[in-house]
Amino acid sequence: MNELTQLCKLLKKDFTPRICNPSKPVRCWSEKDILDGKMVDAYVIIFRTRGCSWALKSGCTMCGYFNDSLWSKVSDKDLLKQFDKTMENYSGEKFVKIFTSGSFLDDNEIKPVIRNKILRELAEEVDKVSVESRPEYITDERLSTVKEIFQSKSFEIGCGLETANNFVREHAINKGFTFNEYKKAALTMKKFSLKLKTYILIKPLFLTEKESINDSISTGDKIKKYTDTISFNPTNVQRNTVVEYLWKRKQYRPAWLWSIVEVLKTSKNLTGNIRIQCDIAGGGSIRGAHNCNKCDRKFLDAIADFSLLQDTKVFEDLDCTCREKWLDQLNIENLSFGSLVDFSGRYQ
Amino acid sequence: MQFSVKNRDGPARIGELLIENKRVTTPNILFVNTSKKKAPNFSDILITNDKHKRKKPTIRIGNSAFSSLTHKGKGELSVDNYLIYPKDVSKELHLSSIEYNKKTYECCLIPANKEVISDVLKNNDALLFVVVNALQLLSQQSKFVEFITELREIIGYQRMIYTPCVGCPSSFALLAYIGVDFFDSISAIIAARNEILLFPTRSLNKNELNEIPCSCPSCSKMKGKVSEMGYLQILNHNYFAILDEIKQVRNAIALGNIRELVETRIRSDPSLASILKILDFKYYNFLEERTPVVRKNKLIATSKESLFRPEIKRFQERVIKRYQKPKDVEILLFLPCSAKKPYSFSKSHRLFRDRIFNSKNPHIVHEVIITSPLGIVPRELELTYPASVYDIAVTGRWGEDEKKMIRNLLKNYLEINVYDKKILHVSSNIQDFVIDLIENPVVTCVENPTSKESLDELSNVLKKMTSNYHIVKSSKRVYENMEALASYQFGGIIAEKLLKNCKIKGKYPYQKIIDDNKQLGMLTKERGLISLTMEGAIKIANSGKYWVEIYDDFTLKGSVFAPGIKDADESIRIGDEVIVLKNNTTCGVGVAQMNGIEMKETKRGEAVKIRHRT
Repeated sequence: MNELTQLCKLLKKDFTPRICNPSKPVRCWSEKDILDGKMVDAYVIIFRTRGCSWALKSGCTMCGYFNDSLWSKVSDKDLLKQFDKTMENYSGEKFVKIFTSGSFLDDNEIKPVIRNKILRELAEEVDKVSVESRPEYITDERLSTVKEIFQSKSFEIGCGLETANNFVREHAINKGFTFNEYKKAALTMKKFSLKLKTYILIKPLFLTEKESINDSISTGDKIKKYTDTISFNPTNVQRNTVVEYLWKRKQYRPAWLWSIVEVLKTSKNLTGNIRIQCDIAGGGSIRGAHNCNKCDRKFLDAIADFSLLQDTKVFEDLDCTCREKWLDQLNIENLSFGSLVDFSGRYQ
Repeated sequence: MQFSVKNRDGPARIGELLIENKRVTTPNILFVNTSKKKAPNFSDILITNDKHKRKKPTIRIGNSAFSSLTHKGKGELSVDNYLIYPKDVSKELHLSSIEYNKKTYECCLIPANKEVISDVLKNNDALLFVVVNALQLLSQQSKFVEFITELREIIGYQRMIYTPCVGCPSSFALLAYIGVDFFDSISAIIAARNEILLFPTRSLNKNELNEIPCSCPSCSKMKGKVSEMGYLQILNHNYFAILDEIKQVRNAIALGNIRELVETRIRSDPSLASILKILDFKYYNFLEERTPVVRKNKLIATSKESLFRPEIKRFQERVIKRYQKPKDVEILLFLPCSAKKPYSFSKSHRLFRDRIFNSKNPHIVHEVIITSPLGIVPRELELTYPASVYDIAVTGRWGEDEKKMIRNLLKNYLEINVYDKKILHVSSNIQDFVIDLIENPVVTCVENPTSKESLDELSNVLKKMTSNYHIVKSSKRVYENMEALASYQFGGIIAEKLLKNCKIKGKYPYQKIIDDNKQLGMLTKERGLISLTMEGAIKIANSGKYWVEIYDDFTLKGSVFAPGIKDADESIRIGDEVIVLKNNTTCGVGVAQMNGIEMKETKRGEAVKIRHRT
């Protein structure tokens, strides 16, 4: 077994899941999103399941979504209760986004009968449903059922490729699948005319700021022919992860917002019509992507505008004195061999 | 790349790195020189991550395994396609990166995890060891000292240690003293970006400055206008500051003064002070092995840390464990120290000695000096280092640490060395903390030890007391003093062997050991130790100590150089008198220029300065 896999496993050794009610969802709420180029209300549901199959085995270095999972089987009855509860607050949004902190298409999280029952009910109400899944669950069998339920309505699967570089995915992320497996899943989706959204991780563990910018840009370029949407997701420091373990020891810093802007600008130029979005969890805080604190708000707003407008002009007026520190970091970080993590940090 | 050590002072050393046919002296600073950062003109050696070739010697860093780019520059890279993990990942992950990096370059990246050092070193002939996450390591001081000392022990004396990002004017001296050979300019850049000016005493934020306390070319141009100092001006100042201090450090090593510089520099930063403390208390053997036994310049003991210097601790240990007092003495006379060294050349000690020699039987008296930071110094050792050269701030107030140290030594000393009578001729502030340890002490000091009253009392007591013993002849006592000194230098067995059937001739402090008209050795004021002749060396050659064996086909001409050495006694220290053997016969004698372990493992440099040879 890969040593990084072992480390991911080791850090979860003493993890005890919070006790929670299996008949209640993690959360659900309504938010703004884009549907067919128009701003609409979208309804978000996070189901509580046993958790991501990969996280249960070892998990990714940056992913802390397993903290929300139950780690033991959730009964069909409870899952339906969760769904019923969420629908109590549902007010007719035409776009529904489903998360499970794992793969919606994994039969071990949600049995096919339940999954299809939920999808059937939603398909009657909404124009678009989006879910998430690892590529191994994106199969002909499952997609044909989905297609049958949704017909011409929009169904999108979000898939976390993180990077097109197999070495990075294996030795920095511990993702547990290859670029080829992703491509195979993407082609299967095309066959059924379903929409693929690909997540690209900005600044995986172990990469310098500059390496991560290059990695994200080249990944976007390599997948533009496979995906409908690219969602750049900067690493945020989630609880009980390898990222958090090293971040606490001053051996990791989340990306600069400058880097994210750089990735978005360049990727937009390279990928043309592909929709690019970027949700920055924990943006502006020390656990999320951040700049010097003074300019963070401006940057976060511009990035949010870009996700909606798809126009790099929103970045034109961004400036701050911290730019020089960021440029220095790009220029000399690899010469520090791990020491230079953050410019505001201690020097000796 | 080729590296050789030229000068040693404790674990610190001045080395010469031959790189791209140019010579670079270490410790030194690798100045960052990239597309965006220009290194200053005065830089000796550069570090870069771009592809251009440069006139100055350059450490060129390629891309990491995580990079989506490959290096397409000209010229050889010092390291490329490397995989490194942060220091606190699992040992297994580090081991996997070590496996990945197994193609060795002249630079070796080493994780800051002491458990994997030996794995990295397997089949590895790299010369420069780059400590990954050095800055994070430094924040845990005891781990830092543990790692660097262990790394040094494992890589030996012939390879270099580089701590990227770590080191600024206030820490260069200490880090060099632990054994770091290379620093870089990254801390100067980071400081400048944060508007911080580096100084050896303390780094200061631009806002903390009312005046610019510096006249380096960059600061001079500001004409006193602090507020107008921008990033570039501060960066240039910082470059000058690191340059100046690295020169100070090299100077101090060459002079044998690095410890004094360290004790001065650590004052401003508690984390540096704790590193020195950890080093002194937990790594005494590491320091002691590398600390010379002879030094010409003053040992300045003005700080608390001075008390725990390795040469002081070694002196104290040798006084208790090796030293044997002159055999015939019966009266122990405790005296205070003098500012002038050696003590017997001082005015106060001349006064004491006049009184001793005016007594009926002066050679029955053994003078032992109570002092800080050495503790107790028998008269015969007053010429040895560091007793001969230490200098302290004398106030008559004794610190608790000093009292405790002296009491411990005194207790041990009196358990081993038995005297019939003991006289205390020291002022009351010393009496107070030692008197309870001495059985039936006779106190002769009234207030000031050099007052007429005190000296008269000393005379009276000595006159009466010495007359109770058989007369010890001067020649016998001179012999015994030499034997006592020899026991301190070589240990008791060799001392006895050397001096058997000998006579001592000459006027102190220059005395010759004569055996049947042949000179065996000589005590000199300059070394404070016995320098042997060939005859002396032959007499003690088969004692199993202080020997260096050279290869049979090696012809001894001037000095012994390391490649000629087959084996050596590991207890040899720099400055020790050593006997050179070839084919089991003595062929020379001289002074060790490196310690026994370094002699054995090193392939370069002068190991023994030969005084006599066959």
